[in-house]
Amino acid sequence: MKYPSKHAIIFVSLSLLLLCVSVLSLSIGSKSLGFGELTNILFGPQTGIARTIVLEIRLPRILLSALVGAGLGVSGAVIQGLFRNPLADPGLIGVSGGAALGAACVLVLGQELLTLFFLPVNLMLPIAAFAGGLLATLLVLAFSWSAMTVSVVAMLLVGLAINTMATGGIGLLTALSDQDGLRNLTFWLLGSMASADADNVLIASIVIIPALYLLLRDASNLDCLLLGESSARTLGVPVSSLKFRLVLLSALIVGCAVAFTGIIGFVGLIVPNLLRFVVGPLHRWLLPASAIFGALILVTADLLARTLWFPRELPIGVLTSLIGAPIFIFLIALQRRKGLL
Amino acid sequence: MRLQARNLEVEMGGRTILDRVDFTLGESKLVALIGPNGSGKTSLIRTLSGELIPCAGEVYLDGKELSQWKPADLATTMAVLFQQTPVNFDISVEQLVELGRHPYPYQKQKNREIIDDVMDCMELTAMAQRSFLSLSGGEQQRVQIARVLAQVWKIEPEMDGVLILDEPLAALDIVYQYQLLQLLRKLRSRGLSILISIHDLNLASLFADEMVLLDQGRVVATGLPESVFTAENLQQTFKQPVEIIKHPGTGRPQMMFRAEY
Repeated sequence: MKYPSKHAIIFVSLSLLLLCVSVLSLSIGSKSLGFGELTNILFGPQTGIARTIVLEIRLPRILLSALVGAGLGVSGAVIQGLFRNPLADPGLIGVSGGAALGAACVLVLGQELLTLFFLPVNLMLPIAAFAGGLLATLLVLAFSWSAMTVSVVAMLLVGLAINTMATGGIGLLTALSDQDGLRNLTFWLLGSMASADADNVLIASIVIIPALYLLLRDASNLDCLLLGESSARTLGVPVSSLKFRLVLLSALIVGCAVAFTGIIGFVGLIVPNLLRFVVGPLHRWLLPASAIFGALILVTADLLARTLWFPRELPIGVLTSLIGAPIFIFLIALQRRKGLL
Repeated sequence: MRLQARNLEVEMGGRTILDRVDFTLGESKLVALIGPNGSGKTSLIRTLSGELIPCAGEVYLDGKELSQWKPADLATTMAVLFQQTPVNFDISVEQLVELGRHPYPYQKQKNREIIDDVMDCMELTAMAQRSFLSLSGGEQQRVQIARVLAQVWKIEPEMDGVLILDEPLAALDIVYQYQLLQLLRKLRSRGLSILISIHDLNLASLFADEMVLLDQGRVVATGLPESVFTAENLQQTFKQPVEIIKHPGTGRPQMMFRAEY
């Protein structure tokens, strides 16, 4: 077997890179810190403003970026496997849009509702975003899916419609809401890590980490799904319950990600597609690699977002979209060359 | 009896696709399903594999109704190759064949041997690392056949699986058609029970132990090639004038079109 060694190298180098960027991100910013100072803060007795910046601002941002990046990367790979098409992406097919609309509903209209459910707002947000994402996924599935084939055109068109609807809905909510509305609109549509704090990181990790674990367990079932639903069934894969589980878990992850960071486009698309060139299409390698690479991409993007234009902060979704869209076009060209589109 | 169906009825869009079809696949038999386009061959195969639920009638595998089987047990007993198996990802030939061993996750070493065996048998070893999508239609078909073979393959001489193939010859050239049927005959002698739908009537008659002739969702004739493959049956089904001659080596009936210039 020659695969594991090659794959091991990829996994180790991606992980090391993630570690390096994270450390870099801890030390760069409004106040730059040396490595010694950083070690003192993390493991030593140093207190003061530097400690607050590192532990209460930068660390939560890095953790949230890593969680959301891993979640988006894996759910992108899962949704592509589910639709049997490498062009599917939670953002493109409207899952993120639906989730953002759900979250915006809670933010703008929810104050009255919240007292009804007796739930704190930072719990209601992920729940509403999850519901919105789930609804969007089911809509896309209903219109593009049959036993033998999945219509890519229908998938992308319904996704487009859902995204348009979400943008319109969020715009409407903004118009109805107060002066904070405009700021919120940009937040949901462009994505930002600025809301990261210990609470959000805790909730995000409680949702995302178990969901990721469950998705990874389905890796070999997803591999069988590459052959189509009917063939997967003859290989002993309980297709219906698998589909249900995958849709639910990826909507959960995307919903949670959107609730805390807004729409961060193209991560779910680019991460698995780039990795397929290196580790191949089998999910037992693709899913864990997507988790690490997704985390790496978002931690890096967030570092760039808050340092490139310092002291201003770029919305992180702007960065991922600017880089992601050209890659998407490249992927379409590649698909056409293979005669798949 | 390995696979048995009684009184199958299938309807689609208000049209009767299968009409009171009985079917039997005996132990260690090679049964060929023949009939014109739209006669219900694929629907019968999809019903026998549990993919289509009939509106009446039952399918039994080893005496147990198909829906009573646990998916995992069913997958280690019966392998099915459907006609359309679209693949959209750049998977390698070897990886695709390996998917056939998905029902056996806990025997890595054995799986390896079986995959090598099957790839060798289907002459795929040289293209093991090539991308499935870069292959020709016929080559892709051979890879898919290797995948389902791997699912019921045994290293030991005796095999006991059930193999269902829907039009496996369709994309293959004449030599591979012939070789595949030779291989299937050999495998059925090793204990595999095989159902294959096939367009080439003469090849079917030459290699099958039994034949089932379908027309408009009904079984026109079933049994030994000699009794199914008669001029009367074929003319009634295919609406063309035919002559039946004997194959020189085997004595099996072969069909020729009558030509009038």
